[in-house]
Amino acid sequence: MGPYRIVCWGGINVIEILQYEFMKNALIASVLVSVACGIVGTYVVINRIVFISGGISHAAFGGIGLGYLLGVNPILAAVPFCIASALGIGLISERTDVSEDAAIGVLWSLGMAAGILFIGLSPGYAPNLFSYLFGSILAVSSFDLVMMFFLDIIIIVTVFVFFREFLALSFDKEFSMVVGVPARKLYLLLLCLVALSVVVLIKVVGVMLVMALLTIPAVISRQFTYNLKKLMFLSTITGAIFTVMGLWLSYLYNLASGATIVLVLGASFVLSSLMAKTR
Amino acid sequence: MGNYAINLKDVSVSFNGVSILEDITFSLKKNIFLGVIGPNGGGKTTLLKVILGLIQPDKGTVEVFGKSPVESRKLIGYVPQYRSFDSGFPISVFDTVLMGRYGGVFGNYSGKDRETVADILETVGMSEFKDRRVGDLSGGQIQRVFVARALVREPMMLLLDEPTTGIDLKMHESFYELLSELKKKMTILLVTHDIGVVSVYVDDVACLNKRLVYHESKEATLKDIGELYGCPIELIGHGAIPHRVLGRHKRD
Repeated sequence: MGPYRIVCWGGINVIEILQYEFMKNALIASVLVSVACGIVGTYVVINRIVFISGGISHAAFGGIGLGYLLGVNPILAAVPFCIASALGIGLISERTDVSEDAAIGVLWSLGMAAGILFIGLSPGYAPNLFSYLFGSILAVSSFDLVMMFFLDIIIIVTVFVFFREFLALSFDKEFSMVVGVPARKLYLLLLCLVALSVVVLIKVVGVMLVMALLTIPAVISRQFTYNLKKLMFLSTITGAIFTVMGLWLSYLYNLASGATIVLVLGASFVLSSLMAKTR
Repeated sequence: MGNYAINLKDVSVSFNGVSILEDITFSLKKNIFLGVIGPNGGGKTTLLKVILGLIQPDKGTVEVFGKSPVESRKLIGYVPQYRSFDSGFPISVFDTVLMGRYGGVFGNYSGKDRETVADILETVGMSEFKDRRVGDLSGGQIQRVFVARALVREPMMLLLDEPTTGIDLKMHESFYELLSELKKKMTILLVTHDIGVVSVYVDDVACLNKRLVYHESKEATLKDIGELYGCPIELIGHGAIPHRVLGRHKRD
């Protein structure tokens, strides 16, 4: 009974489906995505910049559209769009009278509008459009994986180098400036990391659902630890488990992968909140 | 000028055309405990930020220990208002205080940093809470943690912004006792609207409502405060003999 249950769960042979390239890629993508979510998502949650990440992810759609129009990889084209919108939101709210939420709203809708326009201008039909809006983890290519891997590396190295600074400015920006942390510049760098993780996530859950993966694993984990490093680690693990679970369910029941992953995360959040309350 | 911790001359600050501070001129001698009192919106926090170099005045000169505020920052321990903090933030007491030892990018906290943190936590009476989450502490305890975070810089001056806001009255006294101990070693500038406590523990008092009036003798202040504000002021003293004075002054 034991070994059989592991190999054959839900009527599908695990070994057999792992022989499919797209399934292998999807599993690797789940792990790569969870690293970005776990680390950057933790900062997003503790800095309360969830909606900045939402603004960046929707602005990314402009880049995807431009990629279509110019015939380059849409995810690649999203990188400069994400970085520009991250810096835009940060600088506009810091240097002008425009408030942060207004800057988010403007870039959010401008990005979507630009994307729709670019795609309309592209010759022919854009069949994958839906997958960029809502994700399609089963369509992750080897090139996508390599790019996600390098973006993860950039995120990990940056956080390793600036861990103390990011913690200090997240906790108390003003005090961190008084003790000499270049908080303004590093806050913009942190927003750039959010932009990069949005890029990592787009292929898996799409621009509309990115916010869920950036927030839910960290919010779940936050109930169980208040050590930042442990929190990042726990969020990564949580993200990986539930992403794979969502992927599995979507495969089993032929559901949209991105939406299933997000709903699994949502359900886990509700369950973990109840657990944390009754502890 | 070696005897002075702070020298402000004709300092004015305004935001978007609204004047916050006007022609502030005062000098604070070293090792004096100065209480700056004034109403909300009177410019108290702005004054502290000018002294820290976080806000550039529109005009006037600011000297802290004979240098520019930014150059002297490492000599200052800053205790900001504690409402500016998210109680769910994932950080322990020890790690919060350790941030005060930050010395620059590309470094790490040393063993000496950790020892200093442990010593100062002892000083402020928070050693037993060092592994607790900051957000789980009471207001008074958080304030002690923030004082510790300022003290681990081994500062020559402590700046405190409304340190008793959000702390229950029982804790006030022990908090000010702590400051009385600290004033033997450093200059302290405290801004507050808690006039009564200030009058008991501080050496000098300054009144701030856009303009600043410095009183070297705190007793004189008590009867002047109402006039300086031009508004009704409630005074509550926490001395050996509790007293309550209501002053009602109108000034054109």
